[in-house]
Formats: sequence, C-alpha cells, structure tokens
Amino acid sequence: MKLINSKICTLIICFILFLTFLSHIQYIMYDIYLSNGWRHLRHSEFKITPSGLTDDLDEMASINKPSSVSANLNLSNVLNYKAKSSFPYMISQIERASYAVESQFTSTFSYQKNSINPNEYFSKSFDKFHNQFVFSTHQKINNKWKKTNNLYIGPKGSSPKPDSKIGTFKNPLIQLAWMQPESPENSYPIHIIYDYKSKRFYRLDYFDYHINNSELKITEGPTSLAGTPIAFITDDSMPNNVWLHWEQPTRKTNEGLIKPMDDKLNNHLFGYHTLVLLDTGRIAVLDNNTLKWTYAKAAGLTKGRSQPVEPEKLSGYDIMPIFRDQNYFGYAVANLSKSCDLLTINVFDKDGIRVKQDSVARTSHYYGESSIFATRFILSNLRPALLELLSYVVHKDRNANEGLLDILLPTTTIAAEIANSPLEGGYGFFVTFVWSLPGIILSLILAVLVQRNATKIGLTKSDRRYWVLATALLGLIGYIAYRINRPKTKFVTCKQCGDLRNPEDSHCHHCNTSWDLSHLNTPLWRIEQASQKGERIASNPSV
Amino acid sequence: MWTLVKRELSDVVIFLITIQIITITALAISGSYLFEALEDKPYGLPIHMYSILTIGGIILTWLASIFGCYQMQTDKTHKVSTFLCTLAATRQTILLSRIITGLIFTLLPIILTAIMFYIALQFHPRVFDLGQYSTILIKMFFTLTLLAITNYAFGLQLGLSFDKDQKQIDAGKFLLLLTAISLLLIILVYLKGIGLTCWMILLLLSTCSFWLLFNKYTKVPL
Repeated sequence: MKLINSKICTLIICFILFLTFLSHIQYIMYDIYLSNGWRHLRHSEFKITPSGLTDDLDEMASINKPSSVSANLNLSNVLNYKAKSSFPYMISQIERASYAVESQFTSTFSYQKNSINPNEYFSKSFDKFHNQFVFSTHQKINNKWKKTNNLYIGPKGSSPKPDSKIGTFKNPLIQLAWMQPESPENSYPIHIIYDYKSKRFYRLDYFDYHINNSELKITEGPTSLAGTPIAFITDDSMPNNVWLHWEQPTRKTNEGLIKPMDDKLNNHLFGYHTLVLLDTGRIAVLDNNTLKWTYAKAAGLTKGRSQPVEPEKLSGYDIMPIFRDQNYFGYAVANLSKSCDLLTINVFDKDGIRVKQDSVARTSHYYGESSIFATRFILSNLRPALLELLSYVVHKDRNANEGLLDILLPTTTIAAEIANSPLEGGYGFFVTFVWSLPGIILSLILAVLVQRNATKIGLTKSDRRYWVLATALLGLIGYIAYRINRPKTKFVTCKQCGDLRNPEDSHCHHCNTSWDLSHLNTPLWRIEQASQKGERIASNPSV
Repeated sequence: MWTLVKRELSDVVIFLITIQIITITALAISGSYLFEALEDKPYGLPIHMYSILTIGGIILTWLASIFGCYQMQTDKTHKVSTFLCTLAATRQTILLSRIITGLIFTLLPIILTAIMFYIALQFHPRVFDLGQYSTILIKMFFTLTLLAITNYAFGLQLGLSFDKDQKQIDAGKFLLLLTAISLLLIILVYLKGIGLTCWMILLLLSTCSFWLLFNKYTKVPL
C-alpha cells in the first residue's frame, strides 16, 4: 500500500492523459501530411493505357477506346482506412480485429432465384455456418417477424435442423460466384468456402437444390495450400485505401452506341476460376469445378521484383482479376508502399509475365509542408525521449498498418518513420537520437527546474530524487505531474536566513533554524498542574 | 451509511431529477426514430443505437464530471464535511456516501437507455440472431459506464481543490478543465476501441483518481 502513493497515481494519470492527447494530435498531423502529399494524384491521370492484356483487341481498327488500368487513393481518408477506424468501421472493429469486418459479423448475400431469397451467415457464437432461407422476405405476422431456418450447412453435409454430424466451418472465407453452363441466362450461384480448420476449399452447389429440390451438393477440395488464404480476389473485395479500376476496350457501333470489344471479357466472377490472395502475397488460381488450385505464375503482390511482398507489409493494395471466356486471363495489381510514399501498378498476363508497369510517388512539395513537418517534429519531441528511442527499435520490422492508434508507441512519430526508412541499424538509431535530442535537452532542463524548485520549497531528499528522475525520464509529463503534486503551501520569510520557508516544518530547510511556534504553544492556564488535579478529584470523586 | 446517502441525495435531488428528465426526453425523441429504423430494417442493429450511445455517452460523461465537481465544491462552500465530522460519521463514510450518490447519478441514465434498447429489440425482434451485435451493445454500455465513472472521479478531485475565495475564477477554470479531461477520455476510447485494453486503461485511471481523492480528502484540513 505504501508503494501506491499519490506521487505514482498523479504520474500515471498525467502519463496516460498527456500521451493520449499527443497521440491523437500526431495522428491528425500524420493524416494531413499523407493526404497533402497525395493530393496531386486526384488531378493527375495515373493510368496505364492500353493495359497490355488485350493487345489483339486494342490494336483493331474499330477501336473506340483502348483498355486501361488506373489506380487511386481515398485521399480524404487515407489514414482512417489505414487504421480501419472510420465510423462506423470504428464501432464494428471493436477491438481492432485482425480479420476483415465482413467476417467478424454476418456475411449476408442475397439473390433472386425462383422467388427464393437465401441469407446466409456464419455465427461465431455457435461456431456454425448457417444458411437460412426466408421465403417471405421480412414478413411481419402479429407484429413479429417470421423467421425460418431451412437449412444448416457444414463441411460434411447439410441438414434442415441443427446437427452436429454435419460438422462446422471455422471462421470461413466465403465467396459467391456464378456458373454459366450454357449462357448467362442459365447461370446459377455457387459458394466457394475456405475452411481454416480443415484447410480445404468447399463448393456449395445450389443448382439441383433449387431446380430439382434435391439435397444440397457440397464438394470438398484437396487439402492445404503452401500459404494461408486471406481473401478471395474480386473486383471490389479489398477493403483498402487503394482502388484499382479496369476498363475494357470498347468500339463504336454503326448506330453510334459504345459497346465492349469482346463480350466475354470481364473482371467479375463469372467463370471457372477464382483467385485467392495468400498471406505470403502470392496468388492462387482455383478451379471452381474441381477445387484444385495452382499458383499464379506472377509473384503476386510485388513492386516488380520476383519475390512477393506480404500484404501486411503494404499500406494498401488492390488486385483486379481479368477473365476471358470464363477463364483466368491475367490480373492487375496496385500497391501502396509501407511508408505511403509510392503507388505502383503492375499488369501480369496469365503466364506470369509482367506486361505493363507504372508508378507515382508522393510529392513533398505542397503548401504548408514545412509547418506540418515542424509541428510533427515538436510533437515527437514532447513525448518522452526514451519512448522515441524505443519506437525506433520496436517499429523496425513492423507491419504497415500497425500501431497508428497506439498511445505508448505510435507509428505516427518521426522515430517510427526513420525506423521504416532504408537507414540501417546503428546509423538509423543515431539519426533517431539526433532527432530526439531537443526532447532530451528539454527533459534535462525541466529536471534542473524541478530540482531547484523542490529544494526551494523544502521537499524531502527522496521526494526530490523521485521527481527529478521522473522529469528526466518522462520530460514534460514528469514536470506537469510535479507541478500538480507539489504541496501548495504559502511560504513565509525565515527570520534567520531571509529565504522562504515552510511554516508547517519545525525547522527552516535552508538554515535549519527552529521555528518559534509561539501561537501553537498551549497557554499555561490551560495546563492542569498535579496539585490542581488532586484537588479537583477530591472535590468531585464521581467524575 | 444509508442516512448519509439519503442526506447526499437530498442535496443533489434537483440534479438527479433534471438528468432523468433530460434522459427520458432524449430517449423519447430518439426512440421514435429508433423504432422506425428497427421496423424498416429487420436485421442487424440500426445506426441509431450507436448514435444514441455515442452522443448520449459524450454528454453523460461531461455531466458526470461536472456533477462530481459540484458535489465537492458545495461541500467546501457550505462546510458540509466539517459539520458531519462533528457527528458520528468518519470522513471515509462521508466520501463513500458521496461516491454512491455519484454512481446513482451516473448509472441511472445508462440503465434507462439499456431498458429502452431491450424493449425496442423485444418489440421488433430481428430476423437473424443478434449474435455478435448484442456483444457490441454490452461492450458499448460497459465502456460508457467506465468512462462516466472515470470522469466523475476526476470531477470529484478537481472539486476538492476548489477555492471558495476565488469562486468565479475557479468555476470557469474548472469547467474548461473538466471539458478538456472529458474530451481526452473520449479520444482515448476512440483511439483504443471499445475493448479490453480500453477498459484496463479506464480502470487504471479511475482507480488512481479515487485513490488520490481518498488520500487527499482524508488529510485535507476542514
């Protein structure tokens, strides 16, 4: 109990509140810094034309507009997307879950087929993947919603009732795809599921279930990939701050209408293949019919090198698969580098050959650049220098979107930025130390001020040592805590030495002269002498 | 103890009634929108629920800190503790009764809101099981409670350092300080999300604050 004294409590409160304040301001400044740097992208045409995938069509005489791939950033919300904290994402991403928002709650899909509106979801609380068929959509009877569970699906089968024999999927990745056996009019939906427990792909085939009312067909794929799938790649599946857009080549008809050059060219999941992004950054091409997969021959998420980059090490990415005649035909990929300074587009054909590449860098010349940098520098130096140096060590090999909202060691500081620069080990640490030098000097100056003030007001030696050490280590936080915690006494002048002294102490803490506390001495008339006491007891023995 | 709580309640009864009236009025107004939204969208939770909790939470935490400050300031101005100490009451029991009153003030609006949400969800059952959504609501309510209690503790502490000779200067200064602290705590929740880390930090802050208050209050000359 003695350990938890008011000094420690004050220091903890100041530490948390001050760092919260600084972290938030640094987060805002970092957002402004990134957004301003990328603002020119909004006005520039960052586009690859022609895309290089459809040269046969792009070179035709009847071409109206060749194919193109373009990328853009959500400039107003670069950091919010990066930190995944924008409202209502903030609400839904309660504990900064590592998995995607979609899989945290219900994954709801709907489509119209023979007036059936299936809604399916994975319930974490039951650890089961449910498929509910609600025939009358949201029908209200007696002021209550009609709710019908028609089918439960597991990896080993389906059942109209909850059944443990059908097994359960573990946090599955779910993707709706459309099969086109003959023509688009006859297309029917399938669900491709990746189960993290069995490390297999499954296919739910609704064709017979809907048309012939037969049992739902569940196909099990072969086991394990070399990496772990983290997302199915669709035209809009990447929840990132990078948007990739693909335009197919068009022609002008005799009537003046704009039509696609090839109707069988698209970037949707109509077809025989599904692309899957792995945690290693590589891409797997899954055959929707056999559920067998092969690696895409290109490196996957990459800046053009042969080695793929892990998705976690990029600030943002988007992948656009291209299908021709229902077959995988190639893909375009856009990467935003770890420190948000380079946006790259690569286009790969189905043989893994890079056919086109282009990149754009964040500009460092914009209005208010120096003032923003100065503010960031000052804020970084107001943090405890110790934490700044620790930032360099901790954030050396961090993931791109980590720690933006941290209070203790956020990645929005100058030190964290140096840690992610190409500067190597000892030299990088030295640069961080030089940048943190004003903070270290400030801490030492404040520690000297605290030492002087504590001596002046007569704090004990242990208290003085505690506050000086706290201020030297924590800088401004220690100083503020000291100012709040120091005794608020009105000092008086010592008659002996002339310095200010605490009237509550018996001796002056400067010259050690005793304090004449005449007004505190008990007057003699109030002190009962022994003889008087004896008389009182004798006169009134009952008292 | 109960007598002391009753006495404290009688001191702040006007505040208690006002906050309940404000809560009920606000819930009645927002409730109509909420019920409409629940009817329109029979799955998941409507954004109104989050909005009510977020906006209401911000206002409540601010009011809780002001309430704490007011309690201590009234005590100092009217010398309530000085008087009570002459009776059969210790400083610890006086402080405890004051905190119990503060908790009643803080928790009543939260309980009322929770009851309204419960009725709303019973009246308009969801098409799907609430599952994770109910967990979010519980987490939001718990965070709100902790936030309000922490703010209240800071309010009490600031009120304790109130100087009755500089009444007007201190009132303005304290109002600014309390608003700043409330804002900082809301930012803390925004940064850390509504989860275990946030709860741990809020718990640590409120424990430190109450500990400081206890130390200060039991030693301060009356």
